[in-house]
Amino acid sequence: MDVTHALAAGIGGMRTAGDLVARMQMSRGMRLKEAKEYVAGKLGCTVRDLSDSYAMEQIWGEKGLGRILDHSTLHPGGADRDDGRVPHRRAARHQHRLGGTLQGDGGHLSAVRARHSAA
Amino acid sequence: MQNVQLMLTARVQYGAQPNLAFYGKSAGRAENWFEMLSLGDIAGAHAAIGEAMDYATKAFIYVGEGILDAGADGMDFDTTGDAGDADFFSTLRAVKHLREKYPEAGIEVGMAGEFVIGVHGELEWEGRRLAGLWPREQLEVCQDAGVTIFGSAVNIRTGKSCCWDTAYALTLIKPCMDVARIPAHANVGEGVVGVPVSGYPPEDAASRAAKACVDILRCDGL
Repeated sequence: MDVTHALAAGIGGMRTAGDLVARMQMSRGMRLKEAKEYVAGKLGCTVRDLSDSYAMEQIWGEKGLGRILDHSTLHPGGADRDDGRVPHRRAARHQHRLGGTLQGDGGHLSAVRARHSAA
Repeated sequence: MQNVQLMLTARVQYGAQPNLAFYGKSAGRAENWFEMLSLGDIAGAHAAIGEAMDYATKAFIYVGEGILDAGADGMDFDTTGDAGDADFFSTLRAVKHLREKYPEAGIEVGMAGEFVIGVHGELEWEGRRLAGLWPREQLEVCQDAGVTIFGSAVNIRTGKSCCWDTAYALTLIKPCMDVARIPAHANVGEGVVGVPVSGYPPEDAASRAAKACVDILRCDGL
């Protein structure tokens, strides 16, 4: 249920400025509008930016504060590969059997397609 | 608490639930005022409640001082008033003491229901009778006592639809927004403010209740 509330009504928590707005409410007793304006003023951004995780990531970086990266790291080297392909995890474990690639010439899928192709 | 604060960046507040009933027999030392009331011994019940309130206030202060000294960003007295107006009064006394000793601490008071039951019936906080208070008056009493965040709670009616429960809760809590000087957070948990009582609350009901609190109630948090 906490996740439901966070997604339905939350600012974004620590990936945005949600924790700072919460601190202003908890420690200073500021209401939401006042807390958002205070935090936005301190960070040098607009109130709308407070719930934007990408904008906040930039601001944290500029101010030298800790960041929670909003990028997927499920595929090591996936987004940074030169050919832009995201390697399949199972294929990555069996490189020797698949000839080193999954798709493309000599790859596993290309052989499978050739066997079953009606063309 | 010290280890928690070393590891976390997000604010940490300690939650405690006042329950005056635990301070009466057989769980506590004071006489059981519920039994006295059923026998018609009003004076005896009032005396027992007074004794239990002293124990409770001391306990709340003991816990609050310990946890705030340990470095908590704040503390939360949740389900305040579940044992009636005396429970509410004990918590307010503890809040006032903690506020005077820790001016910078965050102290949240979350209520147990939309209506303070008058078990004692004659307790007053700064001239205002606590029995029978609805969320707006509960907020006013809490912010006068030094509370940092007020959490209103409106219990659901299990025979009504989620829509009805949400609308009922918003109707009762909305007047708080006009008079609040402190953040007003609706308690949107199981069995309150439109969320069904379930170990795994349905996301459709919970999310609709949350959005309604934000868009219609204009609360400061959940």
